[in-house]
Order: sequence, then C-alpha cells, then structure tokens
Amino acid sequence: MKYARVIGFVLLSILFVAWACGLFLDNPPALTDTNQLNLHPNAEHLLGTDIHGRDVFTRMVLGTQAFVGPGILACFTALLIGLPLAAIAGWKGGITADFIRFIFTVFATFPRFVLVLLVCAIYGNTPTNLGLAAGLAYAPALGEAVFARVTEFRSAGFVLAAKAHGLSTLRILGFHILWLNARRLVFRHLVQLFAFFLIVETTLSCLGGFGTQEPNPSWGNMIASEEHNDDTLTLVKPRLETLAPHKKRTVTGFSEDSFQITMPQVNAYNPWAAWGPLGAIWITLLGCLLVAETLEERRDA
Amino acid sequence: MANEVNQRGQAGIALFLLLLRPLLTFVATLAGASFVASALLYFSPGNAADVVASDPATYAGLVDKWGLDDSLFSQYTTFVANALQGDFGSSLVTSPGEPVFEVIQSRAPRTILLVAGAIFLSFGLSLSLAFWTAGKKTNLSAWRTWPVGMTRRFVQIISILPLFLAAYICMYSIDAAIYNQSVAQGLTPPSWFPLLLNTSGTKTALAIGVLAISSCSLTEIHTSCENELSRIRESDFVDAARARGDRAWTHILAVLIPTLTTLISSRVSFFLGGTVIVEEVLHINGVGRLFWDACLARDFPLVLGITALAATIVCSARLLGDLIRIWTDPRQRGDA
Repeated sequence: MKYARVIGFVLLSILFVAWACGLFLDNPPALTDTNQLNLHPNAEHLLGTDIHGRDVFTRMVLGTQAFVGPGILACFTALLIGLPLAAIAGWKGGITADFIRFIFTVFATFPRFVLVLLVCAIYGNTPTNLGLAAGLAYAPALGEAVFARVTEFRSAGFVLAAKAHGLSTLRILGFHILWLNARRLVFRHLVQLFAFFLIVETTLSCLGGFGTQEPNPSWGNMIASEEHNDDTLTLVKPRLETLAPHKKRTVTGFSEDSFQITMPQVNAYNPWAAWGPLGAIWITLLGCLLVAETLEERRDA
Repeated sequence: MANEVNQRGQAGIALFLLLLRPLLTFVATLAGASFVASALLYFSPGNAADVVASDPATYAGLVDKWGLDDSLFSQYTTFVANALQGDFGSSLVTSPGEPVFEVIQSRAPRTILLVAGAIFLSFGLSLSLAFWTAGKKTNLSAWRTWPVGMTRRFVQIISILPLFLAAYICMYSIDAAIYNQSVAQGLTPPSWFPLLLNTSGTKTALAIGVLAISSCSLTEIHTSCENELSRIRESDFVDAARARGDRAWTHILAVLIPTLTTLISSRVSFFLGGTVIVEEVLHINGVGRLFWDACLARDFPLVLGITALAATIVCSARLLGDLIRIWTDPRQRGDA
C-alpha cells in the first residue's frame, strides 16, 4: 500500500504540473495543419497528430485547463456549503440538525449528473456553472460525512476538557474537531469530488452540446473529435477498419482547365489521438482513487 | 384478554409511529425537491416563453397564459397542484404540443429495463464476489492470497472508469470484437450485428448499457457487502448456527437483507443518472436520452417533468428501503 500511496501522489502531481504548464503554453488550439493529418507518434509529435493535424500531446496538456480550475472551484463550493452546515448540525444536534440534514436529503434526491445537467441547461454551459453545480451536487455527501464525524466527537473527553478550559466553541469545533479529527475525511471527499468533476466534464465534452466546445481542447472532446462519420464510432471504427489493409491513402483532386488541386496525403487513423486522452482520464482517476484510499487508511490525529 | 388487546393496540400504535417517520420524510423531501427544481427554473435568465415565442406579442401572451410573471410560491403551488393530477405541461421543442407525461411514458420501458437490469447485475455480481473475498486478508508474501487481492483491485480499476468510457469499451470489446472475430472466422454475423451499424439492435444496446452501468458501481457495492459480510460472519449467531449443523449462509443472507435494501435504495440515484449517459452513447430512445435532448433544446417543461420524476423515484426507493428494513429487521421494530 506504501507504493500505491506514492504512485497516487505522483500521478496527481503530474496532473497539476501539466495544468501549470498549460497556463504558459502558447499554442492556439484552433491551429490546424492539413499537411500533418493523423501523424503517428514521432520525435516531433510525442503522441502524433489528430484528424485536423493538431498535436495530441499539446492538446492533452491544454485539456487539463478544462477541468482542473473548475474542479477546484467545485471543491471550494462543496466545502463552503457542506462543511459549515454539517459542523453546525453536528455540534448543535436536535431540530437544527434535523433541518440541515433535511436540506442535504433534498439535494441528494437529485441524481448528481441530472442536477449538473439541469443547472447547465438553465443557467448556461460555462465552466463556472459546471463547477458550482458539481460542488452543489456533491455537498450533501460531504456534509453527511462531516456531520457523522462531528456528532461522534461532540461529547468526547477532549472536547469536554477544552470546554472546561474555557476555549471558544469556534476554536473547539474548527480546530480540535474539524482540523485535528476530520481533515483527512474532508480531503478524501474533496479528492473524490475532483474525480467526479473530471468524469462529469469529460462526459459532457465527449457527448457534445455541453462542456468544453471545439476548438478548445478537453480530454472528453478530444475523444469525440476522432469520430469520422458516425458519432458513436469513436473507438470502434479503428477496430472495424482493421479488417481492411491499413495503408496510407492518397486522395487526389480533379484537374480543370488551368489548375489542378491535389488534396494532402491522409495518413491512416492515429489511435493515440483517442487512446491518449482516454489513458490520461483513467490514470488521473486512478491517482485520485489511490490518494483517497491513503487518506481513508490514515487515521486522523 | 383485555390486557392482550391493550398490548396489541400499543404495538399497533408503535408500528404506526415507526412507519410515520419515513412516510413524512418522503412527502417532505418530495416537496422540497420539487421546490428546488422550481426555484432553479424561476431564477433562470430566460423562461419557457423565450424558447417558443417569435414576437413580443406572442411572448407577452405566453407569459400571461403560463403565469411566468407570478411569484415563485404561486408558480410552485400551481406546478404541484397540476403534477398531482399527472399534468406536467406540454413539451415545447422536443415533441411540440405533446403532454410531458405521455412523452415520458412512451420512453419509460427501456429506461426501467436498463435500471432494473443494472441493479440486478451489479448486486448479483458484487454479492457473489463479496461472499468469496469477505474477511480474507491479502499479503504479498503469500501467493495464495493473490487472487483475492487481484480481484479487489480489478473491481476497483473497472469501477473508476467514467460511464461513457465504460459504455464505449463494452461496445468495443463485445460488439466490435465479436463482429471482427466472426468475420475473420468466415462466419456470417446475425443481421443485428454489429450494433453500431444497426440501429435496430435495441436489445443488444440495453444489454451493453446494463453491463456498463453495473460495472461502474461494482466497487462501492462490493466493499459495502464485504464489510457487512465480515461483520456478520464473526457474529455469535453464525457460530451457533454452525454448531447446530445448520447452513450458515441462509442466516447470513437473512441478516444481510436490510443492508442490501439500504444499498439498493441509495444506488438508484446513480443508476438513474447513468441512464442519461448510456442512452446517449448507445442511442437508446429512453427517458435519459429524452432528458439530454430536452436540456440541449431548453425544453423547460420536459426538463422539469423528468427531474421531478427522477426525484420521485429516488424518494420512493428510499421509502421502500425504509419499509423493507422495518419489515425484515426486528431491531428496527423494537421486537428484539
């Protein structure tokens, strides 16, 4: 498990480095090159190019912008809504707790994906709305977990001792209970929320209509942009094509009186254009899972 | 005799009070959820009249007719009063003029099949695996424990995949691979194969959808079942049953039912959300795809109707879970 922990942190570190690099990358995502369509991996293009001649690796790095920033916004939203409410409910108990938990139950009634889609449909498809909606949808889960933890420690010996020493409620609740005894639980939920946001964003971008729109890159729409004719053949078509000889195809145009148009050479489909972002999604989610597991295993102080 | 009647009466009152709480919670949650959905719509930058009105006069007429200028509370009470009679309004764009309830009703069977199949498969598979892996510790130095550890990891790795990727991969591995293999072997595939080139393959699409949705929820169900099974197996009543020579698993299953019920009712929400994705990916004409199309077209009455319906199903699943738990667990009734 020690190795799994290290692997998890390394994977998430790579993600954040990629995100930071993306902030300084100067590569217009809309720039296409018809002379470099579907290039397979080479020294210049680490993962080759896509069907529009754009570098897959660069777009993967830039694609992190689509979900890391809004994902962090989602975490803050859930934290700002769920944590204070749950802390008050756990500390006060009684009818206050019943009322606050009822609010959590009401929001948890909506399937999370449905709530996110509903907010995007009504208020517009922007990364901010997406982040806020995901945070709102996840807040009940975070709130219920924190509520259970605060209730567990509300009458603990050290809390009674702190009260007897005259410490303020804010200090006991904020520091002694939430920071010392619930921070790993909260971080674990935030990591899970980040993973949830990645799933939501890539799903919306891949299915189209919501999420990041072309030409801006997202790991989801990178997978979707590899569709050739039918919008569901993304991953299957290359496999179906293997029945035919895998050759370079040259498409020549027509010649008219005074000029001849020659279409650029079209290479065979570059599988890394779809498998690259797909692998990145899977690896990032694996990193989130391993980090969440680590936080679950390690007991709070 | 009078004493016995008195005791029965008291037990009846206790049971009524026990059932009252989940019933009240059900009604209050449903009212709260419909209020939240109405409020989201009320504070939106546009409204339903924006979607269909082509000129200011029509817009003003529609706003007046649909009561879009009314207060939030007034709009909410009207919505609830109509919804209680099965009237969710009419679709604006997706199926113009058709009552929302009828549009949903025509698409519901496929979605119900998808959700029911996913519940059945995911719980069947998770429970079978949990019976094998529960309570077994894994150690890298003991190779006999590797299969259990590898199974747990495998389940985790499958479950972390986003649903749309799971659906794609299910298609890729099942649909395309079988098609390719059969062609390579010189066989003639059935007319409905491959699914992606044959839109009439609804049954295959449903089967793939069920597989995708259930594979994405394996870990949580498996882990919960494992923990519960480990706890039950260490209980005294299981030791006593074994000592008597009884079959321990029948006792374990009986005690497991309340936990399973809670788990199923809590996962219904995930399965409903999953149908939106799977139906969109696999082109299944169910309620999930209808919701997606309605969101894209800003068909507000349809969006609100489907959201209210989803909330009702989730609330009903919780209520049913609570009632089954009270029925199957004597401790809940205070009998034990």
